[in-house]
Amino acid sequence: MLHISRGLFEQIHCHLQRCYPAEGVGFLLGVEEKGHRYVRRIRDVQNEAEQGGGHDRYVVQPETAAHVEDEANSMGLSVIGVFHSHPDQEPLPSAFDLDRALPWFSYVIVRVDKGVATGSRSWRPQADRSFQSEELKIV
Amino acid sequence: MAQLILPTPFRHYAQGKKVVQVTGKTISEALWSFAEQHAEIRRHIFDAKSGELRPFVNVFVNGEDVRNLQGGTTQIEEGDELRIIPNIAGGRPAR
Repeated sequence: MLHISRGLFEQIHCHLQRCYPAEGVGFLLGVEEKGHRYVRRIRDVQNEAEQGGGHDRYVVQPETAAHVEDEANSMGLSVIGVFHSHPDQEPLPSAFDLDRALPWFSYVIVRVDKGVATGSRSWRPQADRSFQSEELKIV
Repeated sequence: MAQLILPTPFRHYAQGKKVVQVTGKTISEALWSFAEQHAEIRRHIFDAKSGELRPFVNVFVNGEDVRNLQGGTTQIEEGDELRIIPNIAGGRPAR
């Protein structure tokens, strides 16, 4: 289960709504305890996808990912996942999401319709290269 | 031996370690020395068919992207610091 405060959840939505109609992306920083994940901070980052102006893809440069990871570690946290938007589409993982998924991470996908976040789900990659839905608890 | 800094998603498969020791004369050999002990993440580093480093695996040696050096054949020395940085990418289904 992924636990996230309402305030952080709203920050995620605000960032992704600002990015619309392009996809937005950011990182979830937090801790894992006894199988539960707790998001403590988020970090918005720029979508650096060149393809289609970022409307169908998100890409984060490795230097940016390394910086966020170092920042999380310096605060005693870990990068526990990634959030991104699917503009005008369901928050279901695409084949490309699956192809590029890293093990262990939580992937929060937010549907943004006409600039408004309308639904969110969290997913965990499995060893068989599928995604399994992860309960998202807003506290 | 060189040090390999792991990204968070890989640490789970290495008993939670952030840094592991690796052996080998090149980047590919060093990564393979790690990956062969951790089958779960081998497929995230090496292409299953060709055995080559996957194109979207970012590897840095002493802060330098190995793509700017000699890629997987880049020579490494005792005490070098290697780092895998995951490629973060995805996106909605094509329409």
